[in-house]
Amino acid sequence: MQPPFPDDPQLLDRLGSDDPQAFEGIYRRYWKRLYDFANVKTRDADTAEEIVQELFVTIWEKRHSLQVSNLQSYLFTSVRNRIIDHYKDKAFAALDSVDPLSEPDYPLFLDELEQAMQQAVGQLPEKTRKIFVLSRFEGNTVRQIASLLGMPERTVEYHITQALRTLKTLLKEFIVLVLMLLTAGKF
Amino acid sequence: MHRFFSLLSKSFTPMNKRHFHQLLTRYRSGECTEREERLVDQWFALIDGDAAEMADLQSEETEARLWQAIQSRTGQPRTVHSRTEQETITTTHSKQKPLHFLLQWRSAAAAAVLVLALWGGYQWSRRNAGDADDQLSEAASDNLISKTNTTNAPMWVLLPDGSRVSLQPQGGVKYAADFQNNKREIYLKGKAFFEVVRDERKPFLVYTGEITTKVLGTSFWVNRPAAGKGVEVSVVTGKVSVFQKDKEKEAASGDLAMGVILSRNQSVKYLPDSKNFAAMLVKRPIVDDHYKNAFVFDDTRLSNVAQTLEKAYGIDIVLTNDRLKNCLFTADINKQPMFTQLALIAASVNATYTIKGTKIYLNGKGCP
Repeated sequence: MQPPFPDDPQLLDRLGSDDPQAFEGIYRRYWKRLYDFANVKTRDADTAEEIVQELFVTIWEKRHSLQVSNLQSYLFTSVRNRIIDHYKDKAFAALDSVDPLSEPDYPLFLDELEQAMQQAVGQLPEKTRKIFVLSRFEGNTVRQIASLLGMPERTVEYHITQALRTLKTLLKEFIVLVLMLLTAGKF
Repeated sequence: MHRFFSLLSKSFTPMNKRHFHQLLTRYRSGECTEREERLVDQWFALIDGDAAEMADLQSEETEARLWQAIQSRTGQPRTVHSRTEQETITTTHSKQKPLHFLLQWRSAAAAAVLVLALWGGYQWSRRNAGDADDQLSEAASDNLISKTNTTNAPMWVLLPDGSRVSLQPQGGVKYAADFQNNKREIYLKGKAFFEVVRDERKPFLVYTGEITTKVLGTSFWVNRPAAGKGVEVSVVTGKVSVFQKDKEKEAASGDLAMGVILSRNQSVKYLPDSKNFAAMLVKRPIVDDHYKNAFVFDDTRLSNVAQTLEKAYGIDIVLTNDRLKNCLFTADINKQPMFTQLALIAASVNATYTIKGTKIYLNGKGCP
């Protein structure tokens, strides 16, 4: 019998030597978190399933050449990339003409996008904004922010939740527009 | 605030689909500026849907379905096999597959959807004539690939979308060379096993004379001998919908006279004379992999026993008397087929079971 709870490096090791149980072990351990992540980001359960399915098929197919030191971050980065690819494909599918790229407007688009983000974040109360920027824009963990600002982790989490809630309202039009543009091709 | 919103409305004109696509493409190619990277990261951080709304209430089902899909695509056997077998089953999609692959694959595919259809009185040759009820679109009809299995062994056919068909002896399929329409359409004569690549935008339809089977899951069987009396469709896992040709809309809107949606372990008989669909259970229901060893009970309340069976086989079990729930059941019935399990359970609590349609009813006085 296998040990009941092999750790990630063990699972990876056994996967590399074609152990289907290790493969299943990785699936059972991570599928839910990966699926929820994809689901909340794509807002589509079918797409989320597809992303997770593709990821695991790829992992099995590439099991001999995988160079992974941290399984969890590898899995989440892969899902994140697949989510972005999903939006990229949707944006492409939604293009209704084959006009050449309007290059001159692209920098303007970036300006407007940036401006919209900054303005929205600028609406947040000072402390909430600071924590949000540290967390979402600068990639710090809750624990890191808590120790940096000397406050309980729960307080940091509270501010992040508040920030997301506010931003979602403020950027609703932006988010909705992007989603609408992207789903337009589907219906 | 007002300025902000008007800016957004002006900004996100349809033009920006292209810009947005360009931004994401550059980001994914790893050739974007720091600013673009930051913008995508920020955008990504903000696109979360409502987590509560997204909560997956059928988590167990999703886990099982997803795992099955992964297994069928990685050639994972349902039970653990030796390492050499493992390696052979992950070969690429070549048209000629070695036999050991086929055997392996079929066991994995059995975990998906099984459709068994019997059909008679339909002339395969009519399809060639391009008559009025030919369902293949005009554009595709002159570009049909036809494969017939004249051997004594199953033959594998790779479809243009990557889906696979195991054609049984004397079976035949026809399909458009490129699947360029908005549907993936296959005509079948005889018996075949399908593993279908998922593509929501292009439904996968199998035409067997008067009956159409639409795949809502991933793989299935279809059998249509030249001289039969009816159609029979059976599903092991996954979902298919079966309906009269040209009645897809009615079937989709829930008109049961026009068709039926089948989930695992259910089957339907279509009788051409009465044009009726009669849903029932398959003769030997197949247990979900995760429940293979779940049938060990030790003074377990019958309500929980019934629930285990329901989940394991995806079949509704109705306790007709509330007092039946109180009965306790103790046994290890892992090795028994479902109907034997039911008989053992019923006997131990002095009850009987009956099958009506796709449901099982347990009848008895119950326990105090």
